[in-house]
Amino acid sequence: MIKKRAFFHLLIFICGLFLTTSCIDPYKVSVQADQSYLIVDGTITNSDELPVISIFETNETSNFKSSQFTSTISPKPKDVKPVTKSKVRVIENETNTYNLSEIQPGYYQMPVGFTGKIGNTYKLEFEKANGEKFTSTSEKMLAISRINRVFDTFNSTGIKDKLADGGQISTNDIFIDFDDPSKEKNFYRWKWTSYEIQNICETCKQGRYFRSQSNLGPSGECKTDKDLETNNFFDYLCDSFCWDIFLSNKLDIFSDVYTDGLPQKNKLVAQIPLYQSNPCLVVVEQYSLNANAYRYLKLLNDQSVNTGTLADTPPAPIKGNMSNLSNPTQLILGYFTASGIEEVRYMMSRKNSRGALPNGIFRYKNKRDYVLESTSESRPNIPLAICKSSIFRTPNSPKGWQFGIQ
Amino acid sequence: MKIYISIKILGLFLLLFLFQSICKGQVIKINGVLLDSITNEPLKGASVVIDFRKNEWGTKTDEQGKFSLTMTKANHSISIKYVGYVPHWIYTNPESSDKILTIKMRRLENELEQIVVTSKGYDETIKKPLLGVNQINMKTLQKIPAAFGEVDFLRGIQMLPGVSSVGEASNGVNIRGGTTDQNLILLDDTPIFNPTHMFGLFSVIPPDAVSNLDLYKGNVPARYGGRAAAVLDISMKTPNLNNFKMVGGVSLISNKLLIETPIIKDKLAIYVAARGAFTDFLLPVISNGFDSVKTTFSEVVAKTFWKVNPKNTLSLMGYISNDYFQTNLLANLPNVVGNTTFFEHKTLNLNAKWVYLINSNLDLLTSITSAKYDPTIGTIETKDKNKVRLVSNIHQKQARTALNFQKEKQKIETGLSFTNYMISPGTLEPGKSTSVNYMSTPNEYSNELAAYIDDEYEFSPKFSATAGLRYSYFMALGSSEVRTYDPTETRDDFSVVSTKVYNKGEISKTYGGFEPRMGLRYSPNKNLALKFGYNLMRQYLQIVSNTTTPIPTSRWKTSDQNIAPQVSNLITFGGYQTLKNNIYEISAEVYYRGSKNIIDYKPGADFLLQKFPETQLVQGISKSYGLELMFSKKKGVFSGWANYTYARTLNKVYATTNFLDLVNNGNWYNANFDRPHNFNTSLDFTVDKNNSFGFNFVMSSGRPYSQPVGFVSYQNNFYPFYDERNNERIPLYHRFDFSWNISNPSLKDRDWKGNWAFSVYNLYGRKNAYSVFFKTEDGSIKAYKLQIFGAPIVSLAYNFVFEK
Repeated sequence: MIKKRAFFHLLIFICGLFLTTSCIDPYKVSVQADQSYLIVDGTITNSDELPVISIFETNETSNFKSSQFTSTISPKPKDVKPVTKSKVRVIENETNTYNLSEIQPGYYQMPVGFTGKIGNTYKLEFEKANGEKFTSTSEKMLAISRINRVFDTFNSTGIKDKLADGGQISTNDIFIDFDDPSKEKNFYRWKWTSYEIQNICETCKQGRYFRSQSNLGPSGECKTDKDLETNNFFDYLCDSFCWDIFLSNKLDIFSDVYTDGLPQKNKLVAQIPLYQSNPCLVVVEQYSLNANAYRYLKLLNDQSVNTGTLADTPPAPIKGNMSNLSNPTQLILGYFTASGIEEVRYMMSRKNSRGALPNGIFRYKNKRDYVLESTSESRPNIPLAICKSSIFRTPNSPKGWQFGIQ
Repeated sequence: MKIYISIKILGLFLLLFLFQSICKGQVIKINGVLLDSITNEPLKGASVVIDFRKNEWGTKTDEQGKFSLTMTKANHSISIKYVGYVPHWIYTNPESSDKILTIKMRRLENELEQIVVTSKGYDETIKKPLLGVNQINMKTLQKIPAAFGEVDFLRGIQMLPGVSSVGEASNGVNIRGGTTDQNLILLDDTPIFNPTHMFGLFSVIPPDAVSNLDLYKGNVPARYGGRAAAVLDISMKTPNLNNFKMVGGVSLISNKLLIETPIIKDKLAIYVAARGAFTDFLLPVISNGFDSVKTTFSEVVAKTFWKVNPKNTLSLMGYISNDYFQTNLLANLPNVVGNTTFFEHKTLNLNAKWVYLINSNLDLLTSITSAKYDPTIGTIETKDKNKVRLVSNIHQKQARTALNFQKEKQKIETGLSFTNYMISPGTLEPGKSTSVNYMSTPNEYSNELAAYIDDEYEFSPKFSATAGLRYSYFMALGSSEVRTYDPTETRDDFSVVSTKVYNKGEISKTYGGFEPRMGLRYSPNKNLALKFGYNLMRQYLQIVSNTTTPIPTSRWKTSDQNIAPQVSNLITFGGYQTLKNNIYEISAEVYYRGSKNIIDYKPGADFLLQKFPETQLVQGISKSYGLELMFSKKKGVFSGWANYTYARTLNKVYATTNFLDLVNNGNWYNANFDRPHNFNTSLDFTVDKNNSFGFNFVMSSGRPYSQPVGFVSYQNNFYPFYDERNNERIPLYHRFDFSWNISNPSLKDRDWKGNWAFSVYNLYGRKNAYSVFFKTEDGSIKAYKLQIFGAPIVSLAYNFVFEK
């Protein structure tokens, strides 16, 4: 009898084992834009860096299609175009006016010498070349509390990464403690920047690297060599210290609605991919937000990151704080705001981490070991490559970098 | 020849007239009690029809299975029919005398003849002036192939025309364009606030304890009120006063047991039915998406029935339901530092009912009810695994009394009800946390009074009508803080003109009004009926939610100064034709429903611990219309039905000067659950006494979702941006299910009867989308579809009945 019952139970479980399948599958879409939307974005801060406001427009004929194999939708550069030659100004406390200058098409920078101040209000106004006028709401820069402690832990599961084997890369998770001020509404945002040592500064495909000297200083470039195979790569070591820069791309926000006045502990603020075992520098920035900016970012996050649950909030248009003076119902994307910044520069030894190689970033990103050009009769000296400064790379030792940490 | 026939007919009439005159005053009375032939359980609501082929009037059996008929002494044939039982006939002749009968009805399950679809009782579709009413028999429900072999009334009724949902994880159903909270779900008179376990996967009623289920989607009798769309009245079985019975089952998901026993024979009996699911360790097998899910659920129903004396009966019912669900599939409690979200909810419903039989035509029913629902959402803190909870609850108490009068051609019901609501919208309990504050949103109190009368009258065999009138009166009570807003501005903290504080018990706002209900039936012949129905319903209690389908922790909110009650008008026309001795039935119904003060949310609305939810809401109007066609074969080796529904639901928010409050610029937009085309078919094939097969096929248009109008690069990443709400549809939904029911495989008639139910839900493994969403990840955007059951779900369940 017992045997019979056990058999039934077994049967029930066997019958319950059916084809397992993924709950979530890619879905192919094709979205045809039918109008152009203005995107205005910028944050006035109290840091030393000069704030930059960007003004772009989406292309009204853009078509967004899921790619054939990965089903990703990757907007192309031509889907947005800069709004150039606008007259852009920021008004501080409704009195001081700062005129911004266009440093690159669509990017407008605050004048040299400007630093934002906690407690001041800022408002953005601009006039497009066609005479259309836009204005933002007045945004107050609120104080930001201090970060009391920073620590990291090794997370072997890590995060999704397209380049990783198995789709996941281990991370160093950075946590902070901070005290929330009492009896005031506080809204937070965190961003991080990490600096990783890079040894290889140039890669030439079917070519060789040559250095030259001009009035503008030293330069270098790859020159095609038809004698080489089309898929031949030569990689060149850097001629100086060189850091690759990685920026957070997550919207990490928080409100003290439930936690007013209390110490907050173990808040995860960054997950730094473990590309290599070398120490790295992580800059954690804690921003203050005002209520409306928080709401805007929360909506944006809810509609693009916190989706795919059993009960999503159906997405809706998100109105920023810019409006067209002659057409107030026009939907304008982006948000202009002011934030106080608290910054921590955290040198991470990565002694707690496993599974990464020293100087492994090149191999990780390129899926191969570097190949140095060997000397030959015609090239007895192989040049070292310049570490070219850009938003993703710098030859200048970042503030807070500690040499000698192993 | 012709003349001869005419004379003959005339003669017959004369004779009849003469006969009737002679017999006038000579009446015969038949009193009967209807019992199940095996269990001796009284059969409530069976139809007793006199002279089925001629006069066509009848009555119904009461709670104790009793009926009483008075008729002239003549040749009569009386049919007694009850769903799932073999019909019984009684014949009288002019010599018959008064009779007291005990009729034991044989169950159909041992007969080859099957009744699968039952549109309310016997051929009531033709006879009753009500339309849009479906009675769902548990036997039918048990035969419908079900996911995981769990008998589920919410999935079962979705096989009927006009009932749909947003998808497989929907927390309720949408009936004729109504939202889930516009349906009144009653379990033995007690309201059910959350009808599902595990976020819509299973419904909350232990199937073995259910007697029957009435769905009112057209005419709603005046005794029901408080919701704007439909009523689902689930009655639990009455405990058997004579026999011991044990019913149970084992399935992949849950184990269940019902024990029923008399305490004092013929006087007092009780049953307890329980179901529990603790098999969440299997979930990762079902789908990879479930690997972080931990879930358990259970429910218990207990009911006692006391026959105090032949005139008085008392019944007590208690229902408890518990759920625990831990997941990463739902948004967590925001702004608490933690990594795991959990949901806990429990229901405790109690009901006491006293029925006093004043005489054979009149009874008085009095009941008191308490229904309490406590949902909790929480986060487990990263650091010390402390649980932070946001608890809320709704408590409804009701007292109701009703007088039922029943005569041959007339049925009157009149009653009064008093309801008290207490809602605690939210309290944040930090537990041991040093990082979270204790916070609480004030309780909301209100009362609802209602008086009603319903009169059903048969003017002639061809024409009958029902007229009902309900008056409801709602009072929002203090203590409360009530804001008045500048009507020209969006409602927020800055547009407050004044705030008035009300003391405890003080009335802050009242609403009220009549709710007429009407049904007309005209039958040109005995196989055809044409019906018209009109309903007005008012709803003072609703869910405020910003999700596609309300989640179990969604907030309930009673009307107040700033949130006007929902009012809905429904007009229905229907035509019903039976063919071949009532074996086939064809019906068509068209309806139009217009509602005002429906609730939608503003973009970015957040109701958690929101003291003034009106700042997050917009109200508007809704219109739904549809055509429902149904064909059913009620008896035979093959039985079942097929139906097609065309239905639309569109919403529009009230005009306001603030365009931020306007959903889709104030134009009509598709409701989340708007699915225009629906086709359902369900078949039962009975091979022999022990084997039957069930087949379902379901197809419906995809529901709307919002597709972005473009994508932008913003802050080192790409984001979709949206303009219009619900501007696209997810792909077509279709599914085929199969079940094989083997009853009593040993073929022996023993006290212990077992049966196996083997089912395959979604046989061809269609990956039906539940939702389509866009996600920003890794520097690009991906569109995904979420599937709840993306593969065939094979299950086997064993159920047994033990009777002494």
